[in-house]
Amino acid sequence: MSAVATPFIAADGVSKTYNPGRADEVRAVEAVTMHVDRGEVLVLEGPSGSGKTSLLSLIGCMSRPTSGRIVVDGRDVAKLAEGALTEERRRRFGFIFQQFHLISDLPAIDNVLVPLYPTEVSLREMRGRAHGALARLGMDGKATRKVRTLSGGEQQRVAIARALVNNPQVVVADEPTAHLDRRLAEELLVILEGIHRDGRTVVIATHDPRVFDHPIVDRILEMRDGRIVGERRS
Amino acid sequence: MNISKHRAFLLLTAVEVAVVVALVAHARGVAADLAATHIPAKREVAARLGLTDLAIWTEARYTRHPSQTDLFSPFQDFPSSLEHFPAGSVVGVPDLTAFRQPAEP
Amino acid sequence: MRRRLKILEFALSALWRRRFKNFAIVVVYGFTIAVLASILLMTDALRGEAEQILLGAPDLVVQRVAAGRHDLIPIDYAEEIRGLPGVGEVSPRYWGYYFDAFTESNFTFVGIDDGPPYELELLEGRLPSAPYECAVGEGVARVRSTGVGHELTLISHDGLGVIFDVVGEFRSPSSILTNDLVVFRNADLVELFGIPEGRAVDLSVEVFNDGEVATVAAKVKRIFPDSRPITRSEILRTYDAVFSWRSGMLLAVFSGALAAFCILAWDKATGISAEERREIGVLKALGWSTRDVLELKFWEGAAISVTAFLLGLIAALVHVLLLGASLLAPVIQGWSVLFPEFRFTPSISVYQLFVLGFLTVVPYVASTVAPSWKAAVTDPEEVMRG
Repeated sequence: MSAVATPFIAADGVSKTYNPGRADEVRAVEAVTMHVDRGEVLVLEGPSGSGKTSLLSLIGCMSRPTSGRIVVDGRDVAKLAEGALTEERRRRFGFIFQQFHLISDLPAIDNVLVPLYPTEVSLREMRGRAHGALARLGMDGKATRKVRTLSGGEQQRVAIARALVNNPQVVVADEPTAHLDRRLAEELLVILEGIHRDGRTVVIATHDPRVFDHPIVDRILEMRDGRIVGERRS
Repeated sequence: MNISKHRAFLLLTAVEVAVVVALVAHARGVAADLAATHIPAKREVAARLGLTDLAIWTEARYTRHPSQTDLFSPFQDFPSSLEHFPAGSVVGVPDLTAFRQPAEP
Repeated sequence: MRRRLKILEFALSALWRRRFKNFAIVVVYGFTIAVLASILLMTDALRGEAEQILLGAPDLVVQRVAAGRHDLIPIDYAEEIRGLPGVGEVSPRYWGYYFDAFTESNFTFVGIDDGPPYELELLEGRLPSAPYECAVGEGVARVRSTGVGHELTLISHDGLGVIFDVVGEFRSPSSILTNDLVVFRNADLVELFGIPEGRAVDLSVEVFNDGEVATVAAKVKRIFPDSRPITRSEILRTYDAVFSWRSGMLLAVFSGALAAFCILAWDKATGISAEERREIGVLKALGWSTRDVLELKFWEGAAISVTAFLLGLIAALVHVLLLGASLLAPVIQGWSVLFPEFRFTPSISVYQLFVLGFLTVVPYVASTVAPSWKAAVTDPEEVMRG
């Protein structure tokens, strides 16, 4: 199948090295060329240390490549100034982290509000959107509960609501099922399915077969030692 | 939802500034009053009695009259005497530059 | 602007999350500022007061120095000084100190020349005009339980008790000048102190032209090498140095307290805990730019320090203006038994308040923002990796 349309996100010869030139230098990603099509569900599969989290960060505009190009919707983001890059990140991407990274002392609603503060949206409208995002995930009833009083599954829903509150085009998830039992993992995949049905692109990094064997996945890229070693369609 | 935090904070800060301004204005008012009444009266007392110093510390000579003290006071009754607390830590060494000999004509 | 206010909102939420700790910081910081501002206000007021009142002091005072110490001056010196051009009255001054064993306090004795009964606005009664009369300051009246119409017994230089009639008592508003005074006729004071004939404590010299005072002083010094002329400007300069807020003690205390506090604040923040760093990384990952994060830290620091400054300043103003500095006065009092009530003229310099505000807010904000700098500018992914 030939893709004539320009991919939504394209990485071209991208490398990421941490602590370059030092004793603890780590080459997380090496000369990777790949792309993400609009509206697809893409999985980056590989064991821990394979570089999938790092690649995820790169295409999500969370870090800059050491070398190579990353083009998002026609824009070369590797060259952007910090402020512009942040705005790309905020406008287009929603992140679901492996450890959630919620602020445990804050209520759920306040956590969901965080991405909206640096925008021009009014406080009142912010609250409206946040409640809406929580409601979609059935969490609006617990909006004022402090996050640390919520269960693991509930916390994940809050994290997902936060990722969706800015209405992103791409949802990026890093090992989303890592701490979940089977039931919660299935629930999560149902949620991701719903997100995908809204027309969003989903990119997931995982080594959990429950995810990459799931029917919603369109394409899988296999990664080993910072490189892409295989590609298959689900 | 109750009043947002930033509004409450800004309001509180504005109130604090207003209180400061009010107190300062009050002080200025009181000062102007006293300047018109008490200050001239006190000056009269100083002039009539030939006073040169305020009566703040009533310890011995070098702190009661810091402007009239010996050349090497205010710390010493005699060369190795102990300092008097707390006056000694507040009154500095007097400015000795005034006592240079005038140049010969 | 809206974005700025929203970030302020988030900053306040963050502070509120640890509200007990932050409240404690505001209280301690505010208290420090209250004490320092009180000291500044008080000393500024005193300096202003001294400046105003001591304009009534003699143009020139001539003392005699013997063996490096202040000694009695021959009255004959007055003759020659009177002869100098531009000089008016030259009068011998008699004054000294008296340790009252009964109350363990020091009085200052001042003599005045003879004349008809004299009244002053701030004097209840009159000045002494007949033998064995005296006028007393409020503090003396208080510790010796005496007053107008009563008596005061003092011990003369040869150990004999002498009884004086109190004919005048200085009123409260003048106590900063008169609190420890006992005023006598010169003749009585000479007898009390046993001052030898032909001597005075020092000479008070009137100079017609203010600009000439320094010249006259120089001439006096030349004629009498053992003399020590003191001009009024030198008198005033003494008080400027004593109460100037730039002078050593105040600034030392101030800087010390502030530095200690900022070191504390910095210390708590510099480790910038792993948790704080993670939080900054999360904010950045969720779309906060470096500028947004720094602004957040700025507001966190500013909210605390501005509030502490304003509250401390209000406390100081109330303390000094409305309570007469009643809390600080005992601290400065030391071991003096007689200490005037501080009913002085308040003097507030806006410039000074500004400097105080600046020195309060800026270091604290800096110590809040600076430690977060590195995390704020790093790409979020690297920050979260830890």
